[in-house]
Amino acid sequence: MEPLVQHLERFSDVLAVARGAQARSWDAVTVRRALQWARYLLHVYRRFAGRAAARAALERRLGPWAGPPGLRSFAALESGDARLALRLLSNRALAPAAARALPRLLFPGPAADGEDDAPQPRLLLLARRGSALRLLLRLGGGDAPAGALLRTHAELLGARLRELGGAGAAAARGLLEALWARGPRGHVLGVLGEALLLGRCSHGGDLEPAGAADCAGGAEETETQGLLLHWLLGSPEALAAFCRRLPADRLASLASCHPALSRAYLGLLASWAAQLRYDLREGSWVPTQPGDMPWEELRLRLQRLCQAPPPLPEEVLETLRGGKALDGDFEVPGMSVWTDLLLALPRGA
Amino acid sequence: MDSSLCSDLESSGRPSRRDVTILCLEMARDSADLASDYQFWLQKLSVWEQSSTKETQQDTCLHLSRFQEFLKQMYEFLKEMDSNAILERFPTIGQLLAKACWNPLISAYDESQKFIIWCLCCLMNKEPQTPGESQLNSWIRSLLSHILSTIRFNMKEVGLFTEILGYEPVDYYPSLLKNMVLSLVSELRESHLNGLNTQSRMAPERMMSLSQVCVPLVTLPDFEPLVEALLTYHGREPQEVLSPEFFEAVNEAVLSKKMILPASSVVSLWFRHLPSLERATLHLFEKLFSSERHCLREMECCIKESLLPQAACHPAIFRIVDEMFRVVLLETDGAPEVLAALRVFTWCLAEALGRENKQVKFALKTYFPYGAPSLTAVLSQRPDAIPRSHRLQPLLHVSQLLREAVEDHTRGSPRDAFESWFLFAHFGGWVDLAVEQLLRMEADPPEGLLWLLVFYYSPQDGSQQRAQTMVELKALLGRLLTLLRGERLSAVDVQKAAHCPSADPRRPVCGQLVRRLLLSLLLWTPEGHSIAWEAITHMANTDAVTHEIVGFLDQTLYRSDHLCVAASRKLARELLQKLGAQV
Repeated sequence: MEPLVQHLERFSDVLAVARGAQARSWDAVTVRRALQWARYLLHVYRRFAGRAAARAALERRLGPWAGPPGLRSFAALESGDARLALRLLSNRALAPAAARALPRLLFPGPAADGEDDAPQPRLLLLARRGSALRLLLRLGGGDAPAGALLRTHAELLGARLRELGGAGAAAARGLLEALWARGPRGHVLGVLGEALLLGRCSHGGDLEPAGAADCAGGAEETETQGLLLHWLLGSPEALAAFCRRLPADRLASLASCHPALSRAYLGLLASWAAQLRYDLREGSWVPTQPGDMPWEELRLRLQRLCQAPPPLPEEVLETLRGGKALDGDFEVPGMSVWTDLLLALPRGA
Repeated sequence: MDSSLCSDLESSGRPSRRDVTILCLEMARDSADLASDYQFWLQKLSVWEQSSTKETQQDTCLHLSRFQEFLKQMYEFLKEMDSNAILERFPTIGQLLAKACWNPLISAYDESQKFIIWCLCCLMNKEPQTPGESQLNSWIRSLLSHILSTIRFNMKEVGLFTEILGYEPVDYYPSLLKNMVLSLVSELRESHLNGLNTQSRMAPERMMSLSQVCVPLVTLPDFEPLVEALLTYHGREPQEVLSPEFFEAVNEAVLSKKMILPASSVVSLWFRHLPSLERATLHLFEKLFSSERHCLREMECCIKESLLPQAACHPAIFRIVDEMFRVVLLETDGAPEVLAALRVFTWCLAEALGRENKQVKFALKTYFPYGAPSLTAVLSQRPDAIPRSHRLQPLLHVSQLLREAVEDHTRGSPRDAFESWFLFAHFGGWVDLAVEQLLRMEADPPEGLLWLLVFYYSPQDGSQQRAQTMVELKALLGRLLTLLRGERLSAVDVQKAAHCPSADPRRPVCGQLVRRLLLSLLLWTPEGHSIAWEAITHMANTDAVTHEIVGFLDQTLYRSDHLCVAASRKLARELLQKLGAQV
């Protein structure tokens, strides 16, 4: 295994160099050799991809992967040639002789048409898929593009978390912390929500693009979702943002899949409800601070929870009734937020 | 360039002056064609580039395959030249290729992106001398980089998210595309399920543009679920909501095996777009009736593979396919291979109907509206399923019903005669049965059987001519049976008996029918076996007759359930091999 590990490490270095200024020293022979390397590692990938034990041993032996410029995972070997090609094509520092030779090395013509391990057919497929995506995105309309993007990113996140699985829970938490600290928050929250729903068949009003086949592979997803939930429930800031910013429908679906999340969500909704005060002039419940959740939003979220499958609706009503009892069980509007919320829900108190 | 080539070739003295002139003319014409095509496409691309209306998109889709053909020719032309020569010949080629690169309908289509990239590679200057030439090279590189990574999400955060995870576009293109397709499939499914709810229904315009977008992409495997969903979940609009170009593209992809769809989707396609059904039937005919001869086994494979028998379980589809068979039969004057194909097709249809267990769903009348229902009902029974000793009666019944339909002028017209024959031709198994019965008769052959055979082989005859032929056929049978009862059967005697000395030389018994009887006699009687090869070599005096005999033997082997003697099968196989070697 040792020589193979060395090869992987060297190829990782090559990839890192391919997008940097050091490519200035490359010539046509270097490019050709790098491509041959990618091809050899593609074979390695194909040989080990389906053999879980061997693959895990290799991944363990390799330890933590190099930074973004190099190889990030064993799975990345499958597209090592395309990665290399794209980096070299867009690297302005690449020496002129290497740059001139590159197109012909990648696209030798009809001779390489049938070779499924050569860059040519694989890059052509990439080009075709890229154009297909452009066409679909141009089509616009519907929720397809946004939904598909969230789902794809959720799958990527899941894959990365699984790869880090060997390195322990701390590594997974580190990645999620980094995403939360540096990432685009709205998008990160959306992806988290999607990832927590992957492979779940029954989630309320949400469209379920996955077929039954996807549910079968649930074990891996359940494990990933365990990691995500653990982090989310242990990060108050992220949890609050999650419950505040995700749409009501989606949160209702999530709550019906994950009881722990459902309890936390309901708790937050109750604490936000307690912040509201009754404005006599307006005749309505209004926030006391700019960050509070408005009455309408609160009502909508509770309403959606009441439409979810049991036992959620009963839990919601119990929480509200509990609050109402503590407030003195008044039936008059404007006295207790709980009474008014119960009245505003379709099924009433 | 052309004239210098001519003089070079002439001075070498090898090809004749005429050859060289032709070669030069051809080259000049090819090159001139390419140049005028080039101008045409450059102009088209500019028009397409300027607007992205529905009409432009439709026009692009209509031209995709021709443009790919042009790109292919262009590559063949360019690959022999160096960068400078290309630019001298086509100064604006960069423009043309860039416009093609930037048009996703083109770069998504089939293999177009491949030819664009190959052409760009040809344009690369291997030894740039001037800054301009170096600039061209880096421009080509950036264009290649563009076509390989065309997706740029406008949202910065998307890039940031994947970067933190350590992914590059190449890692998620395939799954993003898969998820886009799945999202659209569920949008279609929801729209179909909520058909009555106009709010959640996909607007017809959206269905139309979606189907248009799929035109270049039907052969990309990622799109199969979407294509399938589009074909399955049709809207409730009275008019078709999918574009005809979409149907054509899917049909072509299925026919050329560039895409595999479930049979139900293909049937749905043919239902919704009749030109595709016609094209599929013609495609099958081209395969069946090409110059290369096919044995019935191969025909059956072709027919089944075409999915047409399965589709034809629905009478509306059956009648279109059947109509096309009728036209081909009329045009070829009842060519034996067309008759054989029609017969095999009908078997395959019966099999498909049996599999679907839907015989009762549609009345036979809906499949064969022109035939008398009683006749259709009798004919559609499997003749070989009837016990040997009970076969005569149904045969006589078929004969009687057909005769009524054909000869009773109070009821019908000459058109009915053809229609009856066409109906009968679907179920050729009855003809085999009739011949078998005739050769087994000890007593005088029943008139009904004679009539049936004469009608099958010469449907165009009037009743008087038919009566005359029947008399001759009866005499011929008598002579053959006498020979059989004699001491020793010889090939020469059989051949002699086949020629009737007394008959009217202007109207000999139909040659095909006579040969059919002789061949059956040779195969089915032990006496015939020993002289079979000799008699056949006497008979097969022209290519057409040889082919006919090969066809008969093939048919015998294909469906020989009624041929119980293993020796006959063995003989038929040997004879076929020997004859096959001669053809």
